[in-house]
Amino acid sequence: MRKGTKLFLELIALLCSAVIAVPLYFIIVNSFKTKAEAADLSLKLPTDWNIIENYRNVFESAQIPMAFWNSLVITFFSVLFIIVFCSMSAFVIQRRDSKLTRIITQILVVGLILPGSIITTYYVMDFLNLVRTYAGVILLFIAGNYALMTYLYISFLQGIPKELDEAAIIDGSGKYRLFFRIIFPLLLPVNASVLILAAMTVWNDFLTPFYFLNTADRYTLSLAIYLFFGQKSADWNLVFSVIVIVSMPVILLYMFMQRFIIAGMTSGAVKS
Amino acid sequence: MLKKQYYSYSLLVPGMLIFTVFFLVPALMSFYFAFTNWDASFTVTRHVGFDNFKTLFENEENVLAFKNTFIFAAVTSFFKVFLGLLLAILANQMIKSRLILRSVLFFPVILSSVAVALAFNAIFHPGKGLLNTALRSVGLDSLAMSWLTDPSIVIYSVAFVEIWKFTGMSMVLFLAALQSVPQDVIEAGKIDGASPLKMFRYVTLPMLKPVLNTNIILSVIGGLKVFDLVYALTGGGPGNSSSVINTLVYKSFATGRNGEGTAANLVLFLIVLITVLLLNKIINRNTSR
Repeated sequence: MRKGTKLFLELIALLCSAVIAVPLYFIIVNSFKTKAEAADLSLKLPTDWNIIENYRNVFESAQIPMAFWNSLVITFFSVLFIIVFCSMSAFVIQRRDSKLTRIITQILVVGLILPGSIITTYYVMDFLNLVRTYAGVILLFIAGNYALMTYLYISFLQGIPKELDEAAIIDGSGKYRLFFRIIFPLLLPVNASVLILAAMTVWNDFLTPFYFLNTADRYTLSLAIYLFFGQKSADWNLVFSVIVIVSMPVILLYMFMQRFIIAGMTSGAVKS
Repeated sequence: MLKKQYYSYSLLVPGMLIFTVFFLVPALMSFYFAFTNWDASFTVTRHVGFDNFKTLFENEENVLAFKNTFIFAAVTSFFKVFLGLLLAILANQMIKSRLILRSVLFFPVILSSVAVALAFNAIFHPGKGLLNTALRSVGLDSLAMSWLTDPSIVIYSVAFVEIWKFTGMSMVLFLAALQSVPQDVIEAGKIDGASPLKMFRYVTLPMLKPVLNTNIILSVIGGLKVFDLVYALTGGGPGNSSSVINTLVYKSFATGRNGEGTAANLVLFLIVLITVLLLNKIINRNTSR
Protein backbone atom coordinates (compact mmCIF):
# COMPACT_ATOMS: atom_id res chain seq x y z
CA MET A 1 0.00 0.00 0.00
CA ARG A 2 1.24 3.49 -0.82
CA LYS A 3 2.07 5.75 2.06
CA GLY A 4 -0.54 8.34 1.08
CA THR A 5 -3.32 5.77 0.85
CA LYS A 6 -2.33 4.35 4.19
CA LEU A 7 -2.39 7.72 5.89
CA PHE A 8 -5.77 8.43 4.35
CA LEU A 9 -7.18 5.12 5.65
CA GLU A 10 -5.78 5.80 9.11
CA LEU A 11 -7.56 9.14 9.13
CA ILE A 12 -10.87 7.64 8.03
CA ALA A 13 -10.58 4.94 10.69
CA LEU A 14 -9.90 7.49 13.40
CA LEU A 15 -12.75 9.70 12.20
CA CYS A 16 -15.22 6.79 12.29
CA SER A 17 -13.99 5.81 15.75
CA ALA A 18 -14.52 9.41 16.87
CA VAL A 19 -18.16 9.36 15.73
CA ILE A 20 -18.73 6.56 18.24
CA ALA A 21 -16.25 7.62 20.92
CA VAL A 22 -17.23 11.28 21.27
CA PRO A 23 -20.79 10.60 22.48
CA LEU A 24 -19.40 8.04 24.95
CA TYR A 25 -16.85 10.55 26.27
CA PHE A 26 -19.66 13.13 26.38
CA ILE A 27 -21.73 10.90 28.70
CA ILE A 28 -18.85 10.24 31.07
CA VAL A 29 -17.46 13.75 31.28
CA ASN A 30 -20.87 15.27 31.93
CA SER A 31 -21.56 12.82 34.72
CA PHE A 32 -18.60 14.48 36.52
CA LYS A 33 -19.98 18.01 36.35
CA THR A 34 -22.19 20.14 38.57
CA LYS A 35 -25.80 20.64 37.56
CA ALA A 36 -25.14 24.12 36.17
CA GLU A 37 -22.16 23.06 34.10
CA ALA A 38 -23.75 19.87 32.78
CA ALA A 39 -26.71 21.93 31.59
CA ASP A 40 -24.45 23.36 28.85
CA LEU A 41 -24.20 19.85 27.33
CA SER A 42 -20.67 20.62 26.20
CA LEU A 43 -17.56 18.46 25.77
CA LYS A 44 -15.43 20.65 28.02
CA LEU A 45 -13.72 19.18 31.05
CA PRO A 46 -15.47 20.12 34.28
CA THR A 47 -14.08 23.19 36.08
CA ASP A 48 -15.71 21.93 39.22
CA TRP A 49 -15.38 18.14 39.61
CA ASN A 50 -18.54 16.81 41.16
CA ILE A 51 -18.04 13.07 40.78
CA ILE A 52 -18.68 11.76 44.27
CA GLU A 53 -21.62 14.10 44.91
CA ASN A 54 -23.36 13.08 41.67
CA TYR A 55 -23.01 9.36 42.19
CA ARG A 56 -23.92 9.62 45.85
CA ASN A 57 -26.93 11.69 44.90
CA VAL A 58 -28.09 9.02 42.46
CA PHE A 59 -27.58 6.22 44.95
CA GLU A 60 -29.52 8.13 47.59
CA SER A 61 -32.57 8.40 45.39
CA ALA A 62 -34.17 5.24 46.75
CA GLN A 63 -35.24 3.75 43.40
CA ILE A 64 -31.80 3.28 41.91
CA PRO A 65 -30.09 0.96 44.46
CA MET A 66 -33.26 -1.12 44.71
CA ALA A 67 -33.58 -1.30 40.92
CA PHE A 68 -29.91 -2.30 40.70
CA TRP A 69 -30.56 -5.15 43.12
CA ASN A 70 -33.72 -6.22 41.24
CA SER A 71 -31.84 -6.29 37.94
CA LEU A 72 -29.06 -8.30 39.53
CA VAL A 73 -31.42 -10.94 40.97
CA ILE A 74 -33.47 -11.25 37.78
CA THR A 75 -30.40 -11.41 35.54
CA PHE A 76 -28.69 -14.00 37.74
CA PHE A 77 -31.59 -16.44 37.86
CA SER A 78 -32.60 -15.94 34.22
CA VAL A 79 -29.07 -16.66 33.00
CA LEU A 80 -28.65 -19.62 35.33
CA PHE A 81 -31.82 -21.29 34.08
CA ILE A 82 -31.11 -20.37 30.46
CA ILE A 83 -27.74 -22.14 30.67
CA VAL A 84 -29.11 -25.26 32.37
CA PHE A 85 -32.37 -25.69 30.43
CA CYS A 86 -31.06 -24.74 26.97
CA SER A 87 -28.01 -27.00 27.21
CA MET A 88 -30.19 -29.92 28.39
CA SER A 89 -32.65 -29.39 25.53
CA ALA A 90 -29.89 -28.99 22.96
CA PHE A 91 -28.26 -32.24 24.05
CA VAL A 92 -31.40 -34.27 23.37
CA ILE A 93 -32.26 -32.39 20.15
CA GLN A 94 -28.76 -32.77 18.72
CA ARG A 95 -28.11 -36.38 19.80
CA ARG A 96 -31.47 -37.91 19.11
CA ASP A 97 -32.83 -37.98 15.57
CA SER A 98 -36.55 -38.57 15.89
CA LYS A 99 -39.71 -37.06 14.45
CA LEU A 100 -40.22 -35.03 17.62
CA THR A 101 -36.74 -33.52 17.69
CA ARG A 102 -37.02 -32.64 14.00
CA ILE A 103 -40.30 -30.83 14.63
CA ILE A 104 -38.78 -29.01 17.61
CA THR A 105 -35.86 -27.87 15.47
CA GLN A 106 -38.36 -26.33 13.04
CA ILE A 107 -40.24 -24.64 15.89
CA LEU A 108 -36.98 -23.18 17.20
CA VAL A 109 -36.27 -21.59 13.81
CA VAL A 110 -39.70 -19.96 13.95
CA GLY A 111 -38.97 -18.81 17.51
CA LEU A 112 -35.71 -17.24 16.35
CA ILE A 113 -37.41 -15.11 13.73
CA LEU A 114 -40.88 -14.17 14.84
CA PRO A 115 -41.78 -11.54 17.44
CA GLY A 116 -43.56 -12.62 20.61
CA SER A 117 -47.20 -11.74 21.09
CA ILE A 118 -47.18 -9.34 24.01
CA ILE A 119 -50.80 -8.86 25.01
CA THR A 120 -51.68 -12.56 24.90
CA THR A 121 -48.52 -13.22 26.94
CA TYR A 122 -49.82 -10.72 29.46
CA TYR A 123 -53.07 -12.66 29.58
CA VAL A 124 -51.24 -15.96 30.23
CA MET A 125 -49.12 -14.31 32.93
CA ASP A 126 -52.21 -12.80 34.52
CA PHE A 127 -53.99 -16.16 34.42
CA LEU A 128 -51.04 -17.78 36.24
CA ASN A 129 -50.83 -14.88 38.73
CA LEU A 130 -47.31 -14.07 37.53
CA VAL A 131 -47.70 -10.42 36.56
CA ARG A 132 -45.46 -8.15 38.68
CA THR A 133 -43.48 -11.10 40.08
CA TYR A 134 -39.77 -11.86 39.68
CA ALA A 135 -40.60 -15.48 38.87
CA GLY A 136 -42.85 -14.34 36.03
CA VAL A 137 -40.29 -12.15 34.28
CA ILE A 138 -37.57 -14.76 34.78
CA LEU A 139 -39.80 -17.32 33.02
CA LEU A 140 -40.39 -14.81 30.20
CA PHE A 141 -36.66 -14.22 29.81
CA ILE A 142 -36.05 -17.98 29.62
CA ALA A 143 -38.79 -18.35 26.98
CA GLY A 144 -37.57 -15.31 25.03
CA ASN A 145 -33.97 -16.54 24.88
CA TYR A 146 -34.71 -20.25 24.54
CA ALA A 147 -34.61 -20.56 20.75
CA LEU A 148 -31.36 -18.68 20.15
CA MET A 149 -29.43 -20.11 23.08
CA THR A 150 -30.53 -23.70 22.38
CA TYR A 151 -29.29 -23.17 18.84
CA LEU A 152 -25.89 -22.04 20.09
CA TYR A 153 -25.64 -25.20 22.18
CA ILE A 154 -26.77 -27.44 19.31
CA SER A 155 -24.10 -26.11 16.97
CA PHE A 156 -21.43 -26.56 19.64
CA LEU A 157 -22.58 -30.10 20.49
CA GLN A 158 -22.10 -31.10 16.86
CA GLY A 159 -18.38 -30.87 17.56
CA ILE A 160 -18.47 -33.28 20.50
CA PRO A 161 -18.23 -36.86 19.16
CA LYS A 162 -20.90 -39.40 20.08
CA GLU A 163 -18.14 -41.94 20.80
CA LEU A 164 -17.60 -40.05 24.02
CA ASP A 165 -21.18 -40.81 25.09
CA GLU A 166 -20.68 -44.49 24.24
CA ALA A 167 -17.52 -44.69 26.30
CA ALA A 168 -19.27 -43.07 29.25
CA ILE A 169 -22.23 -45.43 28.93
CA ILE A 170 -19.93 -48.46 28.83
CA ASP A 171 -18.28 -47.12 31.99
CA GLY A 172 -21.70 -47.27 33.58
CA SER A 173 -22.95 -43.69 33.40
CA GLY A 174 -26.70 -43.21 33.73
CA LYS A 175 -28.51 -40.71 31.52
CA TYR A 176 -28.28 -37.77 33.93
CA ARG A 177 -24.71 -38.54 34.89
CA LEU A 178 -23.82 -38.71 31.20
CA PHE A 179 -25.10 -35.22 30.59
CA PHE A 180 -24.20 -33.40 33.79
CA ARG A 181 -20.85 -35.07 34.55
CA ILE A 182 -19.47 -35.90 31.12
CA ILE A 183 -21.00 -33.54 28.55
CA PHE A 184 -21.79 -30.37 30.50
CA PRO A 185 -18.17 -29.71 31.59
CA LEU A 186 -17.13 -29.83 27.91
CA LEU A 187 -19.54 -27.01 27.11
CA LEU A 188 -17.45 -24.42 28.93
CA PRO A 189 -16.67 -22.15 25.92
CA VAL A 190 -20.26 -22.05 24.72
CA ASN A 191 -21.47 -21.62 28.30
CA ALA A 192 -19.32 -18.51 28.48
CA SER A 193 -20.82 -17.14 25.26
CA VAL A 194 -24.37 -17.90 26.37
CA LEU A 195 -23.69 -16.42 29.79
CA ILE A 196 -22.53 -13.11 28.45
CA LEU A 197 -25.07 -12.82 25.62
CA ALA A 198 -27.99 -13.73 27.89
CA ALA A 199 -26.74 -11.53 30.73
CA MET A 200 -26.49 -8.54 28.40
CA THR A 201 -29.90 -9.16 26.84
CA VAL A 202 -31.64 -9.57 30.18
CA TRP A 203 -29.82 -6.72 31.93
CA ASN A 204 -30.53 -4.28 29.08
CA ASP A 205 -34.08 -5.41 28.38
CA PHE A 206 -36.71 -2.72 28.70
CA LEU A 207 -39.88 -4.15 27.18
CA THR A 208 -40.37 -7.10 29.56
CA PRO A 209 -40.15 -5.18 32.86
CA PHE A 210 -42.05 -2.29 31.24
CA TYR A 211 -45.10 -4.50 30.65
CA PHE A 212 -44.78 -7.10 33.36
CA LEU A 213 -43.00 -5.59 36.37
CA ASN A 214 -44.70 -2.25 36.52
CA THR A 215 -44.63 -1.64 40.24
CA ALA A 216 -42.24 0.79 41.93
CA ASP A 217 -40.37 -1.54 44.27
CA ARG A 218 -39.74 -4.13 41.53
CA TYR A 219 -38.47 -1.87 38.74
CA THR A 220 -35.36 -3.09 37.00
CA LEU A 221 -32.55 -0.68 36.32
CA SER A 222 -33.40 -0.02 32.66
CA LEU A 223 -36.96 0.87 33.63
CA ALA A 224 -35.83 2.92 36.62
CA ILE A 225 -33.41 5.07 34.60
CA TYR A 226 -36.14 5.75 32.04
CA LEU A 227 -38.48 6.99 34.79
CA PHE A 228 -35.62 8.81 36.51
CA PHE A 229 -35.09 10.75 33.29
CA GLY A 230 -38.78 11.66 33.27
CA GLN A 231 -38.51 13.19 36.74
CA LYS A 232 -35.04 14.71 36.60
CA SER A 233 -34.52 15.71 33.00
CA ALA A 234 -33.30 19.10 34.22
CA ASP A 235 -30.44 17.50 36.18
CA TRP A 236 -28.32 16.33 33.26
CA ASN A 237 -25.36 15.56 35.54
CA LEU A 238 -27.50 13.00 37.39
CA VAL A 239 -29.01 11.59 34.20
CA PHE A 240 -25.51 10.96 32.83
CA SER A 241 -24.40 9.38 36.12
CA VAL A 242 -27.36 7.02 35.93
CA ILE A 243 -26.44 6.09 32.35
CA VAL A 244 -22.91 5.24 33.52
CA ILE A 245 -24.27 3.16 36.40
CA VAL A 246 -26.57 1.06 34.24
CA SER A 247 -23.78 0.48 31.71
CA MET A 248 -21.01 -0.42 34.19
CA PRO A 249 -21.91 -4.10 34.72
CA VAL A 250 -22.14 -4.90 30.99
CA ILE A 251 -18.92 -3.01 30.35
CA LEU A 252 -17.15 -5.08 33.02
CA LEU A 253 -18.54 -8.29 31.53
CA TYR A 254 -17.41 -7.13 28.10
CA MET A 255 -13.89 -6.30 29.25
CA PHE A 256 -13.34 -9.67 30.87
CA MET A 257 -15.13 -11.83 28.34
CA GLN A 258 -14.80 -9.97 25.03
CA ARG A 259 -13.63 -13.08 23.19
CA PHE A 260 -16.78 -15.01 24.06
CA ILE A 261 -19.21 -12.25 23.00
CA ILE A 262 -17.81 -12.12 19.51
CA ALA A 263 -17.65 -15.92 19.31
CA GLY A 264 -21.25 -16.24 20.48
CA MET A 265 -22.59 -13.56 18.18
CA THR A 266 -20.73 -14.90 15.17
CA SER A 267 -21.83 -18.51 15.60
CA GLY A 268 -25.37 -17.51 16.56
CA ALA A 269 -25.74 -15.23 13.57
CA VAL A 270 -24.33 -17.69 11.07
CA LYS A 271 -26.59 -20.47 12.33
CA SER A 272 -29.72 -18.38 12.13
CA MET B 1 -31.43 -48.51 19.80
CA LEU B 2 -30.62 -49.16 23.43
CA LYS B 3 -28.91 -45.79 23.41
CA LYS B 4 -32.13 -43.83 23.06
CA GLN B 5 -32.78 -44.06 26.76
CA TYR B 6 -29.57 -42.11 27.38
CA TYR B 7 -30.92 -39.13 25.45
CA SER B 8 -34.04 -38.97 27.54
CA TYR B 9 -36.82 -36.57 26.63
CA SER B 10 -36.99 -35.68 30.31
CA LEU B 11 -33.97 -33.39 29.72
CA LEU B 12 -36.01 -31.55 27.11
CA VAL B 13 -39.03 -30.98 29.32
CA PRO B 14 -38.21 -27.92 31.49
CA GLY B 15 -36.98 -25.68 28.66
CA MET B 16 -39.58 -26.79 26.15
CA LEU B 17 -42.38 -26.42 28.70
CA ILE B 18 -41.45 -22.81 29.52
CA PHE B 19 -40.98 -21.97 25.83
CA THR B 20 -44.38 -23.48 25.00
CA VAL B 21 -46.34 -21.80 27.78
CA PHE B 22 -44.73 -18.35 27.50
CA PHE B 23 -43.99 -18.11 23.79
CA LEU B 24 -45.86 -20.62 21.62
CA VAL B 25 -49.21 -20.59 23.41
CA PRO B 26 -49.49 -16.77 23.45
CA ALA B 27 -48.50 -16.71 19.77
CA LEU B 28 -51.25 -19.19 18.88
CA MET B 29 -53.79 -17.41 21.09
CA SER B 30 -53.29 -14.20 19.15
CA PHE B 31 -54.91 -15.85 16.11
CA TYR B 32 -58.10 -16.09 18.14
CA PHE B 33 -58.11 -12.86 20.16
CA ALA B 34 -57.19 -10.64 17.20
CA PHE B 35 -60.70 -11.28 15.90
CA THR B 36 -62.54 -10.31 19.09
CA ASN B 37 -63.38 -7.15 21.04
CA TRP B 38 -61.05 -8.23 23.87
CA ASP B 39 -61.14 -5.43 26.47
CA ALA B 40 -59.12 -4.11 29.39
CA SER B 41 -60.39 -6.80 31.76
CA PHE B 42 -59.60 -9.54 29.21
CA THR B 43 -63.22 -10.42 28.54
CA VAL B 44 -64.59 -11.20 25.11
CA THR B 45 -68.21 -10.35 24.40
CA ARG B 46 -68.18 -10.35 20.64
CA HIS B 47 -66.35 -11.82 17.67
CA VAL B 48 -65.73 -8.94 15.34
CA GLY B 49 -64.30 -10.66 12.27
CA PHE B 50 -61.79 -8.42 10.55
CA ASP B 51 -62.97 -5.20 12.22
CA ASN B 52 -59.78 -4.78 14.26
CA PHE B 53 -57.70 -5.05 11.11
CA LYS B 54 -59.97 -2.59 9.32
CA THR B 55 -59.45 -0.08 12.13
CA LEU B 56 -55.71 -0.63 11.86
CA PHE B 57 -55.56 0.12 8.17
CA GLU B 58 -58.24 2.81 7.98
CA ASN B 59 -57.09 5.00 10.85
CA GLU B 60 -54.40 7.38 9.61
CA GLU B 61 -52.47 7.34 12.89
CA ASN B 62 -52.13 3.57 12.66
CA VAL B 63 -51.14 3.63 9.01
CA LEU B 64 -48.37 6.05 9.94
CA ALA B 65 -47.05 3.54 12.50
CA PHE B 66 -46.84 0.87 9.79
CA LYS B 67 -45.17 3.28 7.37
CA ASN B 68 -42.66 4.34 10.02
CA THR B 69 -41.85 0.73 10.84
CA PHE B 70 -41.01 0.04 7.20
CA ILE B 71 -38.97 3.25 6.86
CA PHE B 72 -37.09 2.45 10.06
CA ALA B 73 -36.36 -1.16 9.06
CA ALA B 74 -35.26 -0.21 5.55
CA VAL B 75 -33.10 2.79 6.45
CA THR B 76 -31.37 1.13 9.41
CA SER B 77 -30.76 -2.13 7.53
CA PHE B 78 -29.28 -0.38 4.53
CA PHE B 79 -26.84 1.71 6.55
CA LYS B 80 -25.97 -0.93 9.13
CA VAL B 81 -25.09 -3.44 6.41
CA PHE B 82 -23.41 -1.01 4.00
CA LEU B 83 -21.37 0.90 6.59
CA GLY B 84 -20.67 -2.32 8.46
CA LEU B 85 -19.16 -3.84 5.32
CA LEU B 86 -17.03 -0.77 4.52
CA LEU B 87 -15.80 -0.54 8.10
CA ALA B 88 -14.99 -4.27 8.21
CA ILE B 89 -12.88 -3.89 5.07
CA LEU B 90 -11.17 -0.88 6.64
CA ALA B 91 -10.55 -2.75 9.90
CA ASN B 92 -9.07 -5.62 7.90
CA GLN B 93 -6.32 -3.42 6.37
CA MET B 94 -2.83 -3.29 7.76
CA ILE B 95 -3.30 0.05 9.46
CA LYS B 96 -2.35 1.08 12.97
CA SER B 97 -5.79 2.30 14.00
CA ARG B 98 -7.58 -0.94 13.13
CA LEU B 99 -7.64 -2.16 16.73
CA ILE B 100 -9.08 1.15 17.92
CA LEU B 101 -11.70 0.98 15.20
CA ARG B 102 -12.71 -2.56 16.13
CA SER B 103 -13.11 -2.06 19.85
CA VAL B 104 -14.67 1.40 19.72
CA LEU B 105 -17.23 0.51 17.04
CA PHE B 106 -18.42 -2.54 18.95
CA PHE B 107 -18.78 -0.68 22.23
CA PRO B 108 -22.30 0.79 21.82
CA VAL B 109 -23.65 -2.65 20.85
CA ILE B 110 -23.40 -3.79 24.46
CA LEU B 111 -25.09 -0.73 25.98
CA SER B 112 -28.78 -0.66 26.82
CA SER B 113 -31.04 1.04 24.29
CA VAL B 114 -32.60 3.13 27.04
CA ALA B 115 -29.23 4.47 28.18
CA VAL B 116 -28.29 5.31 24.60
CA ALA B 117 -31.67 6.94 24.01
CA LEU B 118 -31.27 9.18 27.07
CA ALA B 119 -27.80 10.26 25.94
CA PHE B 120 -29.10 11.09 22.47
CA ASN B 121 -31.84 13.20 24.00
CA ALA B 122 -28.97 15.48 25.01
CA ILE B 123 -26.98 15.09 21.79
CA PHE B 124 -30.04 15.98 19.68
CA HIS B 125 -30.89 19.03 21.82
CA PRO B 126 -31.79 21.71 19.25
CA GLY B 127 -30.06 24.65 20.96
CA LYS B 128 -26.93 23.28 22.62
CA GLY B 129 -26.78 19.59 21.64
CA LEU B 130 -23.52 18.16 20.29
CA LEU B 131 -24.89 17.46 16.83
CA ASN B 132 -26.15 20.97 16.11
CA THR B 133 -23.12 22.55 17.76
CA ALA B 134 -20.85 20.49 15.51
CA LEU B 135 -22.86 21.38 12.42
CA ARG B 136 -22.77 25.09 13.27
CA SER B 137 -19.07 25.05 13.99
CA VAL B 138 -18.34 23.85 10.44
CA GLY B 139 -20.71 26.41 8.95
CA LEU B 140 -23.60 24.06 8.18
CA ASP B 141 -26.11 26.09 10.17
CA SER B 142 -28.89 25.22 7.76
CA LEU B 143 -28.53 21.51 8.61
CA ALA B 144 -28.99 22.11 12.34
CA MET B 145 -32.50 20.88 13.01
CA SER B 146 -34.97 20.04 15.76
CA TRP B 147 -34.11 16.37 15.44
CA LEU B 148 -36.65 14.97 17.87
CA THR B 149 -39.46 17.51 17.67
CA ASP B 150 -39.83 18.03 13.92
CA PRO B 151 -42.49 15.45 12.88
CA SER B 152 -41.14 15.15 9.35
CA ILE B 153 -37.65 13.96 10.36
CA VAL B 154 -38.05 12.40 13.79
CA ILE B 155 -38.22 8.77 12.56
CA TYR B 156 -34.93 9.30 10.70
CA SER B 157 -33.33 10.70 13.84
CA VAL B 158 -34.34 7.56 15.73
CA ALA B 159 -33.02 5.46 12.83
CA PHE B 160 -29.71 7.35 13.08
CA VAL B 161 -29.33 6.31 16.72
CA GLU B 162 -30.03 2.67 15.83
CA ILE B 163 -27.39 2.84 13.09
CA TRP B 164 -24.93 4.51 15.48
CA LYS B 165 -25.51 1.78 18.06
CA PHE B 166 -25.52 -1.35 15.86
CA THR B 167 -23.20 -0.78 12.89
CA GLY B 168 -20.41 -2.23 15.05
CA MET B 169 -22.33 -5.50 15.28
CA SER B 170 -22.59 -5.90 11.53
CA MET B 171 -18.93 -4.84 11.18
CA VAL B 172 -17.83 -7.56 13.59
CA LEU B 173 -19.77 -10.24 11.69
CA PHE B 174 -18.29 -9.13 8.35
CA LEU B 175 -14.83 -8.94 9.85
CA ALA B 176 -15.03 -12.52 11.12
CA ALA B 177 -15.94 -13.64 7.60
CA LEU B 178 -13.19 -11.53 5.98
CA GLN B 179 -10.59 -13.04 8.26
CA SER B 180 -11.70 -16.52 7.30
CA VAL B 181 -10.91 -15.93 3.60
CA PRO B 182 -8.00 -18.35 3.09
CA GLN B 183 -4.64 -16.64 2.64
CA ASP B 184 -3.59 -18.87 -0.29
CA VAL B 185 -6.64 -17.76 -2.31
CA ILE B 186 -5.58 -14.15 -1.83
CA GLU B 187 -1.98 -14.98 -2.75
CA ALA B 188 -3.11 -16.82 -5.87
CA GLY B 189 -5.15 -13.82 -6.95
CA LYS B 190 -2.21 -11.49 -6.45
CA ILE B 191 0.09 -13.73 -8.48
CA ASP B 192 -2.46 -13.75 -11.29
CA GLY B 193 -2.25 -9.97 -11.21
CA ALA B 194 -5.82 -9.19 -10.14
CA SER B 195 -6.43 -5.56 -9.14
CA PRO B 196 -7.64 -4.95 -5.58
CA LEU B 197 -11.09 -4.10 -6.94
CA LYS B 198 -11.27 -7.31 -8.98
CA MET B 199 -9.99 -9.27 -6.00
CA PHE B 200 -12.85 -7.88 -3.95
CA ARG B 201 -15.47 -8.53 -6.61
CA TYR B 202 -14.43 -12.07 -7.51
CA VAL B 203 -12.73 -13.44 -4.39
CA THR B 204 -13.88 -11.65 -1.25
CA LEU B 205 -17.49 -10.79 -2.06
CA PRO B 206 -18.60 -14.35 -2.92
CA MET B 207 -17.10 -15.51 0.36
CA LEU B 208 -18.96 -12.79 2.24
CA LYS B 209 -22.29 -13.82 0.74
CA PRO B 210 -23.55 -15.97 3.65
CA VAL B 211 -22.73 -13.37 6.29
CA LEU B 212 -24.15 -10.62 4.08
CA ASN B 213 -27.45 -12.51 3.97
CA THR B 214 -27.39 -13.05 7.71
CA ASN B 215 -26.69 -9.40 8.34
CA ILE B 216 -29.51 -8.24 6.09
CA ILE B 217 -32.04 -10.60 7.65
CA LEU B 218 -30.98 -9.83 11.23
CA SER B 219 -31.14 -6.07 10.62
CA VAL B 220 -34.52 -6.18 8.92
CA ILE B 221 -36.06 -8.35 11.66
CA GLY B 222 -34.52 -6.15 14.36
CA GLY B 223 -35.82 -3.03 12.63
CA LEU B 224 -39.37 -4.32 12.28
CA LYS B 225 -39.48 -5.35 15.94
CA VAL B 226 -38.08 -2.06 17.33
CA PHE B 227 -39.59 -0.75 20.56
CA ASP B 228 -37.12 0.27 23.31
CA LEU B 229 -35.23 2.86 21.33
CA VAL B 230 -38.31 4.57 19.90
CA TYR B 231 -40.15 4.54 23.18
CA ALA B 232 -37.25 5.89 25.22
CA LEU B 233 -36.26 8.55 22.67
CA THR B 234 -39.63 9.96 21.66
CA GLY B 235 -42.42 7.84 23.13
CA GLY B 236 -43.69 7.67 19.54
CA GLY B 237 -44.09 11.44 19.40
CA PRO B 238 -44.35 14.30 18.83
CA GLY B 239 -47.99 13.35 18.43
CA ASN B 240 -47.77 10.04 16.61
CA SER B 241 -45.09 11.09 14.18
CA SER B 242 -42.50 8.49 15.24
CA SER B 243 -44.85 5.68 16.29
CA VAL B 244 -44.04 2.17 15.10
CA ILE B 245 -46.03 -1.08 15.29
CA ASN B 246 -44.76 -1.98 18.75
CA THR B 247 -45.60 1.44 20.23
CA LEU B 248 -49.03 1.04 18.64
CA VAL B 249 -49.42 -2.31 20.42
CA TYR B 250 -48.48 -0.65 23.69
CA LYS B 251 -50.92 2.21 23.16
CA SER B 252 -53.77 -0.21 22.51
CA PHE B 253 -52.81 -2.22 25.58
CA ALA B 254 -52.56 0.88 27.79
CA THR B 255 -56.00 2.08 26.69
CA GLY B 256 -57.61 -1.34 27.12
CA ARG B 257 -58.20 -2.09 23.45
CA ASN B 258 -56.59 -5.50 23.70
CA GLY B 259 -58.30 -6.97 20.64
CA GLU B 260 -56.86 -4.21 18.46
CA GLY B 261 -53.44 -4.48 20.07
CA THR B 262 -53.36 -8.22 19.47
CA ALA B 263 -54.39 -7.64 15.85
CA ALA B 264 -51.51 -5.15 15.41
CA ASN B 265 -49.12 -7.68 16.95
CA LEU B 266 -50.42 -10.36 14.61
CA VAL B 267 -49.87 -8.08 11.62
CA LEU B 268 -46.26 -7.51 12.77
CA PHE B 269 -45.90 -11.28 13.09
CA LEU B 270 -47.09 -11.75 9.50
CA ILE B 271 -44.98 -8.88 8.17
CA VAL B 272 -41.84 -10.37 9.71
CA LEU B 273 -42.72 -13.82 8.38
CA ILE B 274 -43.40 -12.60 4.83
CA THR B 275 -40.33 -10.36 4.80
CA VAL B 276 -38.04 -13.19 5.88
CA LEU B 277 -39.53 -15.58 3.32
CA LEU B 278 -39.20 -12.97 0.55
CA LEU B 279 -35.63 -12.08 1.51
CA ASN B 280 -34.71 -15.75 1.60
CA LYS B 281 -36.19 -16.26 -1.85
CA ILE B 282 -34.34 -13.28 -3.32
CA ILE B 283 -31.11 -14.37 -1.69
CA ASN B 284 -31.42 -17.98 -2.88
CA ARG B 285 -32.19 -16.86 -6.41
CA ASN B 286 -29.07 -14.69 -6.42
CA THR B 287 -26.83 -17.41 -5.09
CA SER B 288 -28.03 -20.08 -7.48
CA ARG B 289 -27.40 -17.85 -10.47
